Amino acid sequence: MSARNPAESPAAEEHVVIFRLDREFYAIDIHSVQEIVRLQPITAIPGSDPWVEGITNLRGRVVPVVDLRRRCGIPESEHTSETRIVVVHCSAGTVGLIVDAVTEVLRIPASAIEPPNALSQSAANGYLRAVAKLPDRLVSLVNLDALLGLDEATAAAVDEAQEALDAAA
Amino acid sequence: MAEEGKRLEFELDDEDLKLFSEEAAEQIEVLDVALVQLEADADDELLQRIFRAAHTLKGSSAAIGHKKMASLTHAMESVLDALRQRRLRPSSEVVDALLNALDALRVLANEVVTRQDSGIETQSLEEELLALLENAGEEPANAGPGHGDGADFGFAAQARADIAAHRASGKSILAVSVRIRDDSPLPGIRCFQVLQELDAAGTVVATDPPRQVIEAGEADYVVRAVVAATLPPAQLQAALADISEVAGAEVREIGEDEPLGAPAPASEPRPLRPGAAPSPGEPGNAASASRRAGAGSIRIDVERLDGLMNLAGELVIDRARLIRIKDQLAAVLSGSELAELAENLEETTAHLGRITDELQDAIMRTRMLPIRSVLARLPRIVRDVATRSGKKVELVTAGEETELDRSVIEVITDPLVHILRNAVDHGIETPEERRRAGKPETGTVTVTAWNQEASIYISVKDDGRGLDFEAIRAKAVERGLVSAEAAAAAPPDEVLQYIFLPGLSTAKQVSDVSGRGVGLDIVRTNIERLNGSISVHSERGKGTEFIIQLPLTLATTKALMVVARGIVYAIPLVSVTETLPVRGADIHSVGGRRLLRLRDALLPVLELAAALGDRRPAVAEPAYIVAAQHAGRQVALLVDHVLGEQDVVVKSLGELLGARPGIGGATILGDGTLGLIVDTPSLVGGAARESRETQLARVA
Repeated sequence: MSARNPAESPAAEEHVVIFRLDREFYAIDIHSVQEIVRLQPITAIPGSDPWVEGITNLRGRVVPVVDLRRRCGIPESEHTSETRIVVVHCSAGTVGLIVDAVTEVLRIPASAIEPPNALSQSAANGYLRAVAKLPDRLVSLVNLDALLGLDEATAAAVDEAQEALDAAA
Repeated sequence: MAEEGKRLEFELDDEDLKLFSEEAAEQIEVLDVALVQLEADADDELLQRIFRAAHTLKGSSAAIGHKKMASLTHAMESVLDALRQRRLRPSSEVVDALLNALDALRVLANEVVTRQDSGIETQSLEEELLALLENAGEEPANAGPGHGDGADFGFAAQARADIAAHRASGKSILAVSVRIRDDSPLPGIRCFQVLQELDAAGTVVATDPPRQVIEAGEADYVVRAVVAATLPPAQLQAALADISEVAGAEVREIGEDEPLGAPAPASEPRPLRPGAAPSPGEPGNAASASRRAGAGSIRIDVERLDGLMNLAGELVIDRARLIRIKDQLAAVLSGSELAELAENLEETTAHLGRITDELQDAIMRTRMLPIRSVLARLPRIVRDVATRSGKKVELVTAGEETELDRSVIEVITDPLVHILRNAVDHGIETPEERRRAGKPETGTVTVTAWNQEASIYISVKDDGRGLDFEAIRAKAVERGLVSAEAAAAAPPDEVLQYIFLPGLSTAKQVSDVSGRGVGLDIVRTNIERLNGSISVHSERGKGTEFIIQLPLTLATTKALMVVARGIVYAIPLVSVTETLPVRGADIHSVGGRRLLRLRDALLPVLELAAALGDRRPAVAEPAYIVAAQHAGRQVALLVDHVLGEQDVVVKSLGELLGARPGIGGATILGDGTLGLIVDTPSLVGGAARESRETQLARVA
């Protein structure tokens, strides 16, 4: 995976899966995406972190599912027919991410990719590694390990930082 | 020691590393078992096996450039060679030195994995080994490995002269050809092992490719050589065929009047002598082929087996779905002409069901291994503990062929070793005590394994002093684990159970052998966590027997399925004592806590979902109580419904969620959704802790 990290090898473009959360667009390296499935039954795990929706049966495998809205501090909303589970591989194993919609698969030229604005919320959270400026919109490139690997202490610190930013806004 | 933690470089990639570690572990295991046997019975076959294992280790460590390991194995090999030639006797001093070196080899082999210098000091071990050789007899004049320096294979004048000299000294001249399997990832290493085998067999006069090439690990799939040796060709051939990944080996004696490599001038090193050896394309000889096929077994990556298991599991679930669809169809179509179709579907699903069950069973069986590998490690442990505690102990094992799932093999070793150490260290008396008691000086510990229904049983029985019931009573009272009255009134069977209480150790002094701060309570908790049990029987002066029972596989477990707040939970059946409706149950409220009176016991009442940390509101009033126990403690769990018993396949929750107290994993239900498996030990343990804290709070 490191070979695909733009910081290490200046690839001419990045091949990504783009999904939507609320009104923002995010991108994940296509190589970390195993598959995209419709919302399916999820069993809650008592006592787990609030952003863990539960576990689901992916063809005989038990896969934990994370509600990305809750993970990213976006207010919850009803699931729709567009809601999907994006199944990804990260350092914590195979994980499903509930997103509002998967919009497209795209090749983004390296020239359109910039480091994140230091003041943006997601950058403060540490899970945003770059921003792609597409002709019609901005897409945030997500660092999966930072997104899913946060321990409780870091998560608390992130929440604080977010509140401070909210207050400043 | 100064080098500790230093990064080490070896000449191998990840795939080679895996091969190296597997092979090293295997050979170390062979040595471990065989070296202990050596003292009792040093027959030729055993010595040969030990020598070969050390030899293979030397070869593979040298091939990856692990100089320290190669050098230590070389010293071991020298001693083993002396043993093999009966120049040295396998005294306990010799075996000790070899075992010490073996322990160091384990550390050195692990360095290859960690790539960190462990800082282990091998110099003194080597010196110790070589010092043994000073007492050894003279090396027979016509044996001993020599190093042929024939760099090319052209039978230079020197080589011819050597051959003549060897012949004169009564050795036979052997033409050797070995081919490595085409799919070998490490042909260079295998060729090097071939060369080492040849060096061990006699004097290598010439090789093709040249010795330097083979020693550099750069040879490819064929090695040919001329060796002067005293052993029969067939024996060398068998030894060569035994090297991993050898596809074929041919050894043929060259008669005195046969032309010696005439068609192989120095400038043309490849063709040795037409007809002297098979060409690389020829199949390996029949003897070696049948030797390999005879075992009738192959190695399979566990991950692949796990993959097969998952697929079979999915089939089982699909079958359940098909049956449901069939039922629905039958209901809709009843009375119509299509009903016959539904019947057909029923037959097909029934057949599919049988096949699936058989498939799942067959795959499960591929994961079964004989317990031999676990039992084989025990003699060494008994020897070590007996030596350090000044006991004389004979270990008898039985039931080596008993098969169990490899997942169980992995977890059974620690508890078994713990109990065995205890038996030798505390159970067996000193030779003097035994003599005074009219027993033979040498104590006997018997480890027996057997299958019974869906369980494996392992018994560890000693003929030692037996447990001292009064000492256990006194200790339990002294440690505040039971009241003096309760202890005095307890029947012997109950007193025996005290030894599994946390904090109770009856050993008069904590020895470095078994007093590792891990008590029988931990052993019992670990075994119960695997849905097994442990029991003990003891008779004063006659001995003690521990019996461990474990399920044949950890992949499936029998469970009681219940529902609490909309989630289906599987409670392992071994921990369930009974179920009863809440209506009519004798529940009392004492000091803000609810207690269930069940016959003469008082059980703390917990709502299962709440106890596991479910913070969502209850959807229904719990209607049932499941009484569950662990380590003699019982709790009453409130659940919404009870669904019944079922075999469940245990799956891990994955790294992201990690271990959660009270939840041991997940399982796929008939409708394809997931249920959660209750980990009774942590749930009951947590409840007991909580109840103690509440009591303390009330006292304060």
